[in-house]
Amino acid sequence: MKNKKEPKVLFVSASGGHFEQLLMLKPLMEKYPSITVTEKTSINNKADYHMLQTGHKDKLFVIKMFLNLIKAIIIWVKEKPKFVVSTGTSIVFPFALLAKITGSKIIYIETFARVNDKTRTGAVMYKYADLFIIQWESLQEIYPNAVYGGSIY
Amino acid sequence: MIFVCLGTQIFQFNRLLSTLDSLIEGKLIDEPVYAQIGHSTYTPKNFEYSKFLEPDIFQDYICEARIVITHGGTGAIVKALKANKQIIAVPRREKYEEHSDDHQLQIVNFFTENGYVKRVDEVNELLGVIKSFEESPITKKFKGEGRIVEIISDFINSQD
Repeated sequence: MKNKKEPKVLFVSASGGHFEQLLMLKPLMEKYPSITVTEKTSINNKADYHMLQTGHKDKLFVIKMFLNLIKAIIIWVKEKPKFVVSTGTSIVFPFALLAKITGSKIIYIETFARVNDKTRTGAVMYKYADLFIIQWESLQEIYPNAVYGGSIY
Repeated sequence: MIFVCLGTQIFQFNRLLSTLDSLIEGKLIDEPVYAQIGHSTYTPKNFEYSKFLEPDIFQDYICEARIVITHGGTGAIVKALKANKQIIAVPRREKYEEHSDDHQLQIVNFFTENGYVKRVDEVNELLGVIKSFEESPITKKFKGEGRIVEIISDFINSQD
């Protein structure tokens, strides 16, 4: 009988609704050794690590993304997660890149907030995620290989 | 008490706040109003507010409220639904520079069509909808029925 160790899982999302959705995965956070990562905002979102808040309309997007990549590398080296789970948005990119390089698996859950169309991050992550979950059946047409999981709430 | 929550996005939602302000000033709303205004730039004169609320204090306001007026964000809507509140959802619109696009319409449509919330598109409808809860309250309960936790758990366990 093998006595296997549960793999470490890194949970990452932007603040607000994305983080609310991430927190719905609490049963998983309790089941596996877990690390949580979110954005630094003026609200104290309880997580292990906080990244710079940015978005595609931010003029400093590239610079902040680069700084976040450096921060992500530090976190990655320290924690060595085997899985990355994200509910969006672009904050996941540095971790997805590191997962691809090191052979860790990426699980991406497209947000509950979009019923009929893709998010920018979802469209990118659909190509790279090892498991891509949608919360609306209406999205199956645009993400044919996605797994329909119903509402995260 | 009416609790207004406008999320954390880096966009204003001034038209809702200014409308509430004039309704209170005109004594058309006579119960206490508290608002979490986020990045709005309008300063309410006739009701108390804060920019952001810590999660547990936010939850306290949700529990205390009779009506929750929210932008079309999923977190706020679902929290209010779980607390069985009367909910008005006002989608943020790109044309009013309240978001980068109109995606909040999708989620508000879903919750409205399924009878979980009442919807307000233009702020001149707000008072009528607030008053409408007296005659036709929302009674439908929301329960999630997804299995995302199991799907992820199965996937992780299948990778060894």
